Amino acid sequence: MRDQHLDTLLEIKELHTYFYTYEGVVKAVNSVSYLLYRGEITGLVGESGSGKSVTAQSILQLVKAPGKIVDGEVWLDGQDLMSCSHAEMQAVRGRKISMIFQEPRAALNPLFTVGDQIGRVVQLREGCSRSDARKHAIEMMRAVEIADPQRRANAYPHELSGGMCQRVMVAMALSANPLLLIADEPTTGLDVTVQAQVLDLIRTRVKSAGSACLFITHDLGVVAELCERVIVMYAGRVVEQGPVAEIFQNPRHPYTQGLIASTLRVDIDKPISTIPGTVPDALRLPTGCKFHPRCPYAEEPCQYEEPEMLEAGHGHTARCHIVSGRIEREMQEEAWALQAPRVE
Amino acid sequence: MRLWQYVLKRLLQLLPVLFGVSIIIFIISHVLPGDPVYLFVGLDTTPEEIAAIRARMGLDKQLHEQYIIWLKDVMRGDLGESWFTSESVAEDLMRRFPATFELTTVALLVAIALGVPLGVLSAVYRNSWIDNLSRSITLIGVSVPSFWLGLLLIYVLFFLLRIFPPPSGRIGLLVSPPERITGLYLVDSLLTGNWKTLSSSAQHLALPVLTQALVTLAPITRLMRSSMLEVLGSEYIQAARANGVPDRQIYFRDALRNALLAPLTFVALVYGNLLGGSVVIERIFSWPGIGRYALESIVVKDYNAVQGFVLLAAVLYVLVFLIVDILYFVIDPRITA
Repeated sequence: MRDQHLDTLLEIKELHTYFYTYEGVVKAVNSVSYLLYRGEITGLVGESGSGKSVTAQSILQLVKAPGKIVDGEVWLDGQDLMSCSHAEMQAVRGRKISMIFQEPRAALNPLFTVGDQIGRVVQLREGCSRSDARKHAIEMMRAVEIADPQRRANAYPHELSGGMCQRVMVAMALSANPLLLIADEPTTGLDVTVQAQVLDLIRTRVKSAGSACLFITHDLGVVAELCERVIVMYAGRVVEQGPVAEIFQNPRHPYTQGLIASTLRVDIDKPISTIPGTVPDALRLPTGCKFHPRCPYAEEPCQYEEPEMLEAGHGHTARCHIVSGRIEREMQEEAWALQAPRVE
Repeated sequence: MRLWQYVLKRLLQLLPVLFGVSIIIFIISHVLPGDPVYLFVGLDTTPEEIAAIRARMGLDKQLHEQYIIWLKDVMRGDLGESWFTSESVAEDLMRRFPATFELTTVALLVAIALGVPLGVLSAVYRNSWIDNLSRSITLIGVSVPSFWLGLLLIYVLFFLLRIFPPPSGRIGLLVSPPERITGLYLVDSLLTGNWKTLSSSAQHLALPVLTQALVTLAPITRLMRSSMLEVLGSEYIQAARANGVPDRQIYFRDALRNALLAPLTFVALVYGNLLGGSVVIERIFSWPGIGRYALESIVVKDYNAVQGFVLLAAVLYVLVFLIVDILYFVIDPRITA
């Protein structure tokens, strides 16, 4: 087992981010803790509304109103981000942490050329002249394999394809050589071939720079392909996390099992299974385990007692009573109680 | 180059618009009840004399003949003769238009200069005291009618406090107007270096400008606020923040330019409307602009004057929108000619 303390880059402890709406408090991120390691890509998986993106926004402290980080710690490379001032946080963003967004075209300002936009970020960071920043921007565009960057630098976002815009975003995010790269579903709107190119780009840059990457997605296929570790979120909580190979071979949480089972596979001839039911209303979460209404194995304890994150293997934890053996044990006890008279 | 072609195209499009407007306004002014001839006759005028006056005014001819005669006047550029001022309508309008233009333009500039920053501040410091203050002021602004506001300002700022001169037109009664160069008193007195007229005309301008500006300011501020809020909530602002762009740059570089697009159309709409003369304010402040001229002409059924005024208002409206379209073209790269 590796010494985790040596290469931990980001540590999130007991993060709580709530949204104070008129209807009530939405606990979008509820007691979330995880570690990100240098040189590793960690996938953050979950359905829409599971709190993936809010986690990322909380790291950057860019949660939009009425959302608020209520409690928790975020440590980046030994720096306590939660105690940072507004100005200190601004210095972290775009330098130590950068982010790639889901909709590349919406994430670029429509009124400025892409060269201007990359150049400005460079200029802000390096404090160099405008022309130097522009040169740097063009280099960055070349690095993310944008053909003819001299000309493309003068293009406005609406004049470029979605894939091209995402390359621009990647160039902007990576120009900082960030310690941490957050990619929030960066390939959702892109063609499959372009997707692969963008993913490859991210992987190459992260590996060569030795930075960490938090890769938010709902596509388990991409996780299997790209990531070393995976964190599964459900209803604002982490329900399972661990190394990708371990999780895919031995998923312990029924939700993770359901996600993997519902992934389309070409090599196995079986109908696609789905997880029954829907994501619970964020305002009226079920008691006990948040997943129990949809869980095929749910037993009585699941309804009133929420499980802890429990060790389920090497660096593998899951939030399920099955792991502790509690459900199984009770089932066994029950089975044993039924069988007992027959033995006699 | 493409911009110039676009402008030329738009100017050519103006012709059919004006032709349509001319027909509509001609018909409307002629079918409205009331016979202008009777405004020229006394109690002892004989029917023969009335017929003679009618013939002299050209009102004995068929409607389409009258229209063609008027159209010829329009083509000639003098817009026909006003029965009341006995001068060409074009001359009448040109003499009065600078008064309207000066009032409207200064008022709009004041409204923009105050409304845009106020709207931006309201959005940036949402739900703060400044937002609440600006929202209350603008709520009053959008709900109070301009004639009442004008009278209130006259009562308080002239009658009670004597800060501003009486609402007696563009300049003090004892001050002679500046030599006419542009017709705009502020500009002309500056050009001729006549400080006394400059100060007098500026003082007389203050109250009507204040009234007009306050009425216009309110919707501009509200529109600016909501537009700014929308832009600040957008993904590219979030992305800029994530890239470590400081707040000041976010507001003034990234957001403002985008947020200005929506209020721009509204400003054009208001300006186009006001240039056609704000009848109420010109009347309250005895402002000798084209709005008051139009009002007086309508009352006495001075056909040529009314028609000439409407035609001018239509041209101004189209020109303002042309300018705004050009501005959009310059600001927003997504718009192509």
